[in-house]
Amino acid sequence: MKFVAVTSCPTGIAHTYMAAEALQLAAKEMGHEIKVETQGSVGAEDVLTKEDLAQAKAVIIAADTSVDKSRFAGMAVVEVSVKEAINDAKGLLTKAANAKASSSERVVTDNAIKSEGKESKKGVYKHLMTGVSFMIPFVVAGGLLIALGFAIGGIYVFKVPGSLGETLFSTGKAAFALMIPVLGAYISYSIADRPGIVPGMVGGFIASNNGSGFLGAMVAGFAAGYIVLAIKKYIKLPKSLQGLMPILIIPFLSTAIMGLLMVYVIGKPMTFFNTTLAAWLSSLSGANAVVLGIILGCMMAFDMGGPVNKAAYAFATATVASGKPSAIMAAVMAAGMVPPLGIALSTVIAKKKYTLEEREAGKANWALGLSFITEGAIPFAAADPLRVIPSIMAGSAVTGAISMAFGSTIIVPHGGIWVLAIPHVVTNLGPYILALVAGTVVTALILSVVKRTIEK
Amino acid sequence: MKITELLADESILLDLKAEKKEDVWEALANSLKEIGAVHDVSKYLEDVQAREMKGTTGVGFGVAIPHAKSEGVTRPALAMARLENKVDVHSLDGTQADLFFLIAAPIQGEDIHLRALSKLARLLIHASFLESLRTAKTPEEVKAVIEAQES
Repeated sequence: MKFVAVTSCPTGIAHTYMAAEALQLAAKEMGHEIKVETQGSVGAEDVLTKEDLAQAKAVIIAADTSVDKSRFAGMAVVEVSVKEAINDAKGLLTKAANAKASSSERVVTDNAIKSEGKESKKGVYKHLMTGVSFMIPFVVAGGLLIALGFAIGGIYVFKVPGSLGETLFSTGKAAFALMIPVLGAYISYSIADRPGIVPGMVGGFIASNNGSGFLGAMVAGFAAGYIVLAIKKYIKLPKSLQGLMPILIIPFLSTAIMGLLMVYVIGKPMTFFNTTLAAWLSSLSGANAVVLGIILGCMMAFDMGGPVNKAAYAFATATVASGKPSAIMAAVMAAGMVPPLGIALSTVIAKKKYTLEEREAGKANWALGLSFITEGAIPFAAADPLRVIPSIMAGSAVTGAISMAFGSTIIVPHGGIWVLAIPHVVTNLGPYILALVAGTVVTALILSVVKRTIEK
Repeated sequence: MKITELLADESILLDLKAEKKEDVWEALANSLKEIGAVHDVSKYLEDVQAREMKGTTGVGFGVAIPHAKSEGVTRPALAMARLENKVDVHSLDGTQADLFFLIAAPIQGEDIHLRALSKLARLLIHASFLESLRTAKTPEEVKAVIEAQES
C-alpha cells in the first residue's frame, strides 16, 4: 500500500527526521511504500504533491506542532505525536492501513487515551500559545508605533490629522484594533484548523467592541474552535455536497452561532457588568486614598483593555476633564505603566521562563510601559493568566497605593514618561517615580518566582 | 557533504570521563580548537549554551546533539564523545546520555550544520548503528561505522 506522511517537531532538527527515517524503515520492512514530508528548521522538504496524496491510502501526521490539515480533506488521517512515530512506526503503519476516510476524524490511539488527562491541559495551553504567538507582532508593532506617535507629536498627537506623528499613531491604533480579533482567530485555528479562523476572528472582533477585551476574545476563540469541531462531527452531508462544508456550511453556521453567543450570552452580562462597575467606582470617591489607589491599581492590571480596566481608566479621565490636577489619574496612569514594565523586567531576570518570542516582546514592553501602553502585557496575560494577572495586579496595587499616599497629581490623561519630563504636569515627581519603580520591581519579582521554567 | 567529512580522528574522544554535559561540551570544543575549526572556545560554548536553553538537545536513545552557529567558529566541524558513564541531558525520553555529537558552524553561510545533524539524526534510529558506535574500539572504527551507515 502507498502512504504519505508529514513529520514535524518544534525544534525541527532531530525528531522530525528520526520519525521520517523510522517510518521509511518500517514501510520497507512491511512491503509498503511511503513518502514523508519533513518540516524541519531548514524548511519543508519532500513536499507532498497532489499526485502523492491521490495515490495514498492514508496520511500519517507525526507532529508536535500544528500542521495544516486542509490539504488532506477527505483522506483517512492518523495523527500522532512524533515520539510515537519514532517508537512504534510499524504499529502506526498498521493503523494507517486500517484507517477509514471521514471528514478528518482523528484516529484515537491507545497512548492518546491514556494521556487524555495530560492532553487536555497541554491542549488548552497549546491553543492559547498559538493564539498569543500570532497576536504578539500586532501588539509590538502597534504599541511601538503609538509610542513613536506620542514621542513625535506629544500626547495630543491624535488631534493633528495628517501630521507624521498622527499617521504613525493611527497606524499603531490600526494594528491594535486587530490584536484582539487575531487572538480569537488563532486560538480557534489551533483547535479546529483553518475553518476555525473565521468564527474565532469574528468572535474576537465582537469582544473588542462590546468591551469584554482579551478575556472575551479568549472565550470566543475556544468557543469558536469547539463549535467548528462540533459542526464537523455532527453534521453529515451526502458525499456530493461534502464540498460545501468548508466553503459554506461551516463558516456560516459557526459564525452565526458565535455571533449569538457573543451578543446574548457574553454581551448582555458584560454591559450590565460595566454599568454596575462605573456606578460602584463613583460611590467610592470619599474612600481612604490609599485604599482607592490599591483598588484602581488592581483594576488597571486585571483585564487590560477589558471592562474592568476601562472602567478604572474612564473614572480617572473624568477627574481631569476640567483640567484640574487629579491624584486619581496619576495613580491610574502609573498603575497602567507597571504591567508592561514589570513583565519586561521579569523577562530579563528570569530568561529561562519565557520563550524566545516572549523575550522579544518583553524588550518592546519597556517602550510600551514607559508610554503608558498597558496592552503590551496582554499577550503574557493571555498565555498564562493564572500566574501573570495576580502578579501584575500586585505590582499595580503597590504603585497605586504609593502614588495616592504621596498625593502626586497629574493634569493630563495619558503620555507616560513623555509627560513626566514636562514641568508642572506631575506634582511630587520623586515619589511618583518611586511608586513606578516599586510596582515594577514587585511585579517582576513575583512573576519571576511563580512562572514555570520552559520545558523542552 | 558527508558526515565523515566533518569529523576528524582527533575529534573523536572515546572513554571520556565527565560529570555533567557542560564538561563534555568543553572537552569536545577544545578538540575542535586543536584542529583549527574553532578559534574562540568560550564564545562558541556560550552559543552552545544559548541554543540548549531554547530546547534540550538530548534526543533520547542515550544520545545528545549539542550544536551552535557561532562567531567563534572558523569552519564547520563535528566532534564526538563516548562517555565512560552516562550524564544527565534533560532528554526527551528521560534517559541519560553516553554519546555526544557536538556540531560547530560559522555564523556566515548556510545551515550546513543543520543538514549534517538531520543526516545524523536519521542514523540514530538504527539500533545497530548505536550498538556499533558503543562497541567501536578506535576512532578509525567509529568513522568506518558512520561511513558504512551513510551509504
